[in-house]
Amino acid sequence: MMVTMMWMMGIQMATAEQVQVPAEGHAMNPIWSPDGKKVAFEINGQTGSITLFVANIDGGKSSSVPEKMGLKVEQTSFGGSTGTVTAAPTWNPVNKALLFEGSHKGGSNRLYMYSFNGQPPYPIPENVISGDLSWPSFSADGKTLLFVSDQTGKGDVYTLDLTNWKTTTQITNSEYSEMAPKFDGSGNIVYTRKQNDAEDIFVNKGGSNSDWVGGAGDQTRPQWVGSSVIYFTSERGGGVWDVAISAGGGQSKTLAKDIRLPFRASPALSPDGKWVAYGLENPDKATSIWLTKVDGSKTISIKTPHQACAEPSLTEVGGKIYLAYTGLPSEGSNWRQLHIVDVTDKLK
Amino acid sequence: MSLLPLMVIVQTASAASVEEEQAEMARILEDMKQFRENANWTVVEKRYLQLSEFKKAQPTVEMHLLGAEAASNLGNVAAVHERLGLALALEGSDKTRQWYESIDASYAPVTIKVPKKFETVPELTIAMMPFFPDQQLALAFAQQQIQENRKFQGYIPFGEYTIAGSTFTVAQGDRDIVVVAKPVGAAKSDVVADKQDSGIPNKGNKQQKPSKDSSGTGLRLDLGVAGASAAESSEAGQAQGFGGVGTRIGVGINYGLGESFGLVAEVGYHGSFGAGEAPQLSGITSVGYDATPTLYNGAFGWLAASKSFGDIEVLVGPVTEFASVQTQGLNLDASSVEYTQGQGDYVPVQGSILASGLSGGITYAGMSVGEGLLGGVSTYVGAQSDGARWYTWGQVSLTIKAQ
Repeated sequence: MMVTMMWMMGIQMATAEQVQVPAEGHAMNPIWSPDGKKVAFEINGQTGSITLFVANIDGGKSSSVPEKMGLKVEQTSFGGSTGTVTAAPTWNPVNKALLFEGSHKGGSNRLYMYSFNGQPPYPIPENVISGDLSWPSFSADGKTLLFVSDQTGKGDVYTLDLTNWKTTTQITNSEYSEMAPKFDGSGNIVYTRKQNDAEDIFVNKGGSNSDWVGGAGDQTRPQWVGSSVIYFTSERGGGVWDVAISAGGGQSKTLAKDIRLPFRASPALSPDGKWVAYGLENPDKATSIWLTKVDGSKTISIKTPHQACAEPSLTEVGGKIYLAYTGLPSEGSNWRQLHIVDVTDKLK
Repeated sequence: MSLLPLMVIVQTASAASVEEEQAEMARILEDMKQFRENANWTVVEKRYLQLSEFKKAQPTVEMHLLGAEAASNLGNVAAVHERLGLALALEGSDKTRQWYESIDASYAPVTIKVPKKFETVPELTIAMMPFFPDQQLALAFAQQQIQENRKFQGYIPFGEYTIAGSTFTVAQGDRDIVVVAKPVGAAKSDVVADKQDSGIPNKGNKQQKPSKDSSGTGLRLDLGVAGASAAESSEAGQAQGFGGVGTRIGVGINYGLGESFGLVAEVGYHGSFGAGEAPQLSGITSVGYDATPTLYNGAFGWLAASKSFGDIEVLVGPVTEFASVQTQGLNLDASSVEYTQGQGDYVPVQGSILASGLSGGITYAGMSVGEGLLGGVSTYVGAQSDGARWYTWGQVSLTIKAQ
């Protein structure tokens, strides 16, 4: 475990713990488990394979060698690891199982559940729902899986009843592709729809679908925060991304501009839902992870010893708030690395 | 002729046979892998079972692990447990051990039986369905086994279960819970949890068989007709032998003691009636003797051991009966000067009896006659003595007892 601690121009930098990974590649998309004791992340070796790892975290430090989430196919004599993708982790809030996307050699993208008991990951069976499956997330009670399937030829939002692993319900059935669905605590679903070459946000309430917020560019990867939706938007054009929040009705408020768009994740919220964390594109500001209150009233930064900091993920465990993020080391490795830092004092 | 060439040939043939088996097992392994790719677990399972038919070569760790994965996907956690144990006995990888140990962290071994008394096999349900698919599959496997075989012996996930209205809980550390389904309304004490220490068994581990099958109490009712006979007493001044027919009613409890043994305790009423005989001798009627019927009113207590053979139950045990009796006829001897020999046979006699002995019988009770109750017929016999004579009786009765 490498501990990096720096003093620079009188500013105390965060003491960040690096999660060592037994593989070469960019560390990406860290997602904390519900109890804050594990963090799942991807390693992209840029060889056509992406591998999911899970690190056990104790006191903000990785307590063991991260566990690789492989598909069983890698362990047989058929094929090899080339072209295998295990990615997009999401945690069941109740049973703490990890669900992720997996594919092998360009085959169908399927969803797998892993329960950390040594058994191979369990796939959602083809006879339950076919097609490429993506964008998994769970209901608050952990009993329902929300995801997108393209079994009809375009992406539609479905639910799967996890109490029987059989009953699927189609939530959307438009002529467009829907993506990135997320439940709120009441069972309402926010998702995006790609139409007219732009992505807009829609909500399903009580079985009825309606538009929430749209506009120029893409409005993508929405996340509920209370009764509002926080999301990334490229409405300003020019390839720049912002974080915005909308209470619906087509109205929105920009919380942060020129953010570094995470590889897959939705906007990262603090455990109490009051802050949204992000990295910035500006190299001068990209050595910090930034946090803005979702009401827009305050912004703070977490200074790090790393560059191009991005993909923040926050959790609370034992009264402490930990931030996981990826960043390039100031010198040395070409790969983005995963770091964890205690930010309790900043947010409490 | 030297035997050496023959021995060499035999040894060569034997060695070749092992290699042939290994080659065939390797082919089956490849077959298993291919069917695994298609998630055809039924075939993977069949192929794995084929591996056990080979006599000389032994399955490898990979074969056992694939067999465990197939069993897991079919919900047979007991087979997973056994196959992982076999794999661990060959090679102790951390992941395999983690999987093996996770079984005891999520499942417990149980035996669930549904007696044939149920016309429709009741469904095993869980209060809160687990989210993990392997646990759901394990429950589905148990449900299927119960429906098909009326019995399941294996692992089910922790949780609160219900079968035929009876609820039981499976929790961490439970070992060899035995559940015998009983209809709603039956005694609730039909679940025996015999907790033992869990541990990692060695290669070839088998589940321990339960030592108990059922226990608990239930009501029992016998309502029948009985014929009784009191033998002649050798003592003077005692009533002559008598007999009659009447009702015999017993009510009590069954208490299960295990697989098929139990105790029955009953108390009841035994009544008997026999017609009296009017004097035929000349002159006797004229002195006032009429026919005196036999009236026997007794209360009995019976404690019997029982052994069940399916729907048939055999019982035997001590019985004690106290009765007041009116009958006719008195044994006379030389000192009985007040009666003539002819008169003694018609003298009304009254008294009480306290007699003890042995009673046994057979019950066939295979019909459901209500919630938790079985109906059938019984036949009992008994022999009791009060020191002066033997009393024997036989009974045919309708029997109602708890399942």
